[in-house]
Amino acid sequence: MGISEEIRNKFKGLTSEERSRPATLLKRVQAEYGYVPEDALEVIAGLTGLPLSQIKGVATFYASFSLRPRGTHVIQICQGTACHVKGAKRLKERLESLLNTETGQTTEDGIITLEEVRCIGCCNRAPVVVVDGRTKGRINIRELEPLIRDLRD
Amino acid sequence: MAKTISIDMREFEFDAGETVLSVAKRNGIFIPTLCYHEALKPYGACRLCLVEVLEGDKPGLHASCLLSAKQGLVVLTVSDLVLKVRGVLIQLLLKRYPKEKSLMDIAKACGIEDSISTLTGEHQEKACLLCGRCVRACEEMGRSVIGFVSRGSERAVDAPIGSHKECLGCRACENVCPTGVVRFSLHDGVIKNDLWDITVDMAVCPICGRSFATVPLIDKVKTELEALSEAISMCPACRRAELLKRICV
Amino acid sequence: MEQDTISAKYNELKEKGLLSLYPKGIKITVGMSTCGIVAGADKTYETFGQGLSDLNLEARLTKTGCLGLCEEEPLVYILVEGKGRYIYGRIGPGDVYALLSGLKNKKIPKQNLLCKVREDKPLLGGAVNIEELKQGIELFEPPGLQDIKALPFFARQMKIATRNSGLIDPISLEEYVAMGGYEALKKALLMDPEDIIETVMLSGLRGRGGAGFPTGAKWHLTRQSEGKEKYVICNADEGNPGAYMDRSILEGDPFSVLEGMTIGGYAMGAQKGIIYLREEYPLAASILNEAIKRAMDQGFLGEHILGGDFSFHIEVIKGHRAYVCGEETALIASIEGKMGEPRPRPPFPTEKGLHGRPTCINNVQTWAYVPPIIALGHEWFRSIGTEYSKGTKVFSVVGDVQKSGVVEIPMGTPIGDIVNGICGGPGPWGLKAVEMGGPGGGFLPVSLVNMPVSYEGLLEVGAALGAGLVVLGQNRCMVDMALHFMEFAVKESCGKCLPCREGTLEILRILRDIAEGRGVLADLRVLEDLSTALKYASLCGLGQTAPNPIMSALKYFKEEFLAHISHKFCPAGVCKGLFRVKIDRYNCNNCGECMIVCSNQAISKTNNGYDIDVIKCNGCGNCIYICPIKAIKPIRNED
Repeated sequence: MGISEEIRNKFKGLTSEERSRPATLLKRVQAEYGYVPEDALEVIAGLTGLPLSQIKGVATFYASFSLRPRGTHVIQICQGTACHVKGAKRLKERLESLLNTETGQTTEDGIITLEEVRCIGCCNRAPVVVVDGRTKGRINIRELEPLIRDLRD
Repeated sequence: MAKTISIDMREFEFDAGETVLSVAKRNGIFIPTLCYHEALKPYGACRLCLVEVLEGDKPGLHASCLLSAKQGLVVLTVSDLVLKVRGVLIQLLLKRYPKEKSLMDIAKACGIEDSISTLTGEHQEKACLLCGRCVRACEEMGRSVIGFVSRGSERAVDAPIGSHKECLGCRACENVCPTGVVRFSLHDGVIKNDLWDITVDMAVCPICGRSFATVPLIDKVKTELEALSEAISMCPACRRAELLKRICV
Repeated sequence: MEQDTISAKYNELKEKGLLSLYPKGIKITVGMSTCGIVAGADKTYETFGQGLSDLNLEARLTKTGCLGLCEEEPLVYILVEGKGRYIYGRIGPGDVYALLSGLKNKKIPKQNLLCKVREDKPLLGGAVNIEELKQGIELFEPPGLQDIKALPFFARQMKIATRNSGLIDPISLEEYVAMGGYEALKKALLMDPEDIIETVMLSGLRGRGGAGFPTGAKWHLTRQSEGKEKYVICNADEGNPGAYMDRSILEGDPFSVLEGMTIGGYAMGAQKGIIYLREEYPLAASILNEAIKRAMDQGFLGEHILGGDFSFHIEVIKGHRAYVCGEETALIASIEGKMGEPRPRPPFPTEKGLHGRPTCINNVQTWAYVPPIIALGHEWFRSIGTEYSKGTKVFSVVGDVQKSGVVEIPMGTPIGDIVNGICGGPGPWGLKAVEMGGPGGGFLPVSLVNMPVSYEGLLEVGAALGAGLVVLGQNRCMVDMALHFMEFAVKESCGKCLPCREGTLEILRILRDIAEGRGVLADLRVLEDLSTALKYASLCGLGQTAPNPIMSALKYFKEEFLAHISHKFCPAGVCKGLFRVKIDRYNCNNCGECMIVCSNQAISKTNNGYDIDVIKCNGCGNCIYICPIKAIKPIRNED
């Protein structure tokens, strides 16, 4: 079964309204694969009847979607104002140096992707990081190394 | 009595539905433009055509390509604020594309060529200024083969590979591009666009063997003609009008 | 449905609601909004479940939303029949068994006990005296317990939009009705739609998203616009960094927003409501969807609401992470499945909005104010606030503040009262500024911090009302803060219009130069020119207001910019390379935190305390930041 066929199968069971919304379909694909494979764009264009250029526009405009494969684990470091005040930039730099990668990239071994988010509305627990969807608040710069070690194990 | 608007302290008549930019152009008043093109719907994104409204609408700067002319409207195209803002916008563009000729022409027309020599930036002979004319031409006249991708400073015009087969080769994008960065060139039996790597087959005249239009364009005309076989019974003038209506969307 | 039937239905729901709000015996409630969960409330809740069965204690275990006292999360409420409701702070799983065994031994444990609630005074219903509610159980209560009304955090608040948060089970329709919920809808459906709009107009309610457009006028325009199909939208794309009051309301009291939207739909002649919710709020999404389902089951939403002619549906549509989609026209584009690019106005959404149809977009808080205004009348709402800013305002207060949280205060309350009075002040470093309005707002220096909260007043000093409050201590650098907001603007600009796309990038480049010691005095002039261009030429509000934080920082903290430019010195010790660090041995308490956080192993322990290797120090400033007693200070490189 080709990947296009596989993606099409993932959309079975959606209502006709949901099938008409490119972002809903993109989200489904992103949730399924962790990123949006190029082939999915054409499948979605076909389903929605919208131009492929619009689907690609949507997929690249919003931060929710990634057209590149991501790591097994995703660390998102919040760079909102409250987190910034509480030293989130230092945390980001520390993470970059510990992972030896830049924000937005995946480590060489493909295990960890480091991303930044701009406020997840959990400001009173600042600074926060989201590890694989789970938010951790009041993160101390010293907790980062063990955190990464745990993910790698 | 005809309705008038005031531009730079002079009164001008206008037609219903006309924009301030169009009234100004018709009367030889210079307003710089970039994303604006006569053949396309106004977009209001480059902001070079800003004019200052004093009366008759919300006071402040408005994009004249979108501002409807209406009785009692008083605008200035060369107020201090307009000149200052326009200057900053053009400098911003020049900074990014210091060698782009079309841009230098705009700067020259606005009288801000002096500062150009001091600017540095990436040197690109022909640059995409992200005016979006090609995107809109393709959307309005073609098949939305090209579109914008990403956001902010990463914004770009892109043609996803899967959409290349949709390209009619109508070259409307090339036609409206202000800088000439969108270009098709004729090769062996095909036209090629290097920017997006699109290739469209040319049709060959079965009689003389000359390439004169692209295959998808001819196919499109053929389909339209088939749907209009009754046109044969029309007089030549009506037939032309009817065909044009069908083919040029 | 006949009015009698409706009344009977309400009474039945109300009775059920009161029974679950004030049950017999003991009720244990855990605050389970997002901040609570991040603080560990889910584990606390689980442990209570386990503990109750382990200790064989009979009590009801329930969930509630956010009371606003986020600093003390996880919050636990213990309601004892006939005694009162006791509020506990910072209850981790480890504290649960001690609490439960206390109760088992007929005692109200004192550990972590914050205050007692003796009486609930629902805004839209009668007072409930918990102490006299029922005959009660005998439990020993520690003497001298503070009442909730005496806590500074609550004493000055006035809860209207947040009236039910932290009190009811967010997804219990019965509890919502018991607190006077859906009375406004019942009343509204008997009113002429024009009269509803007039009431909203006369109340003086203005959009709480920040722009402050009169809500009644927006409703009027939408109603007047031609078209059979119309939409009402709740803008829940709370994108301003450092703000989360909308989330708090959505998670704590979803029905208040649904009721407000339903009333709006009826008044404007809309059939469909959409809540455009940012993706970062998954809990709010599931709570809203559950609330919508329950409202439909009970006839408060859907076809023939309360048996009448009016039908109205609400759908939650999630965003996909783009700040610009908080802008009305970008929000509409996003719902339509396009890139979230704003388009020029006019036409305004009230005339041509979603799918080209008339659309009224209001913010979460704005919708939550609608039911009380309809229920209690415009006079009541008008009586609160200042001349041009009526009612209350909800803020999240975060940053360098002792008690961060969500507070609701009458318009006109001095900002200093919020920061110092309600939220306990800025802590050890002292106050430098209060940031208001997010990436489109500005900073209030200490000299202006006592100005009252109002649309008109804040606009004048270059701040805005839409976002939360971020408190900045003396150890924060204003160049760095300006840089932070410009990085935000660059990353969130949609890129459609030239001034915002290129202008923000250029401003960022200049600010980086200043923060990294390459700035020149002429930069300040260029910053001003660029700001002017952005303000007047940008297509949408995001670009037009993007220079505000920079202009505000330059206006009130110019000397800090000058220090960076002329002396290559960051007085706050934040901008890397623009300072050296010095340990004040006399004050140092030898805790060693600095050595641990040093990013280049430049700090070592000697016999005389801690020592910094000047050569190895890369000026990251981690040590200044971490030092608990301010014993490490930034000094100029040449000193």
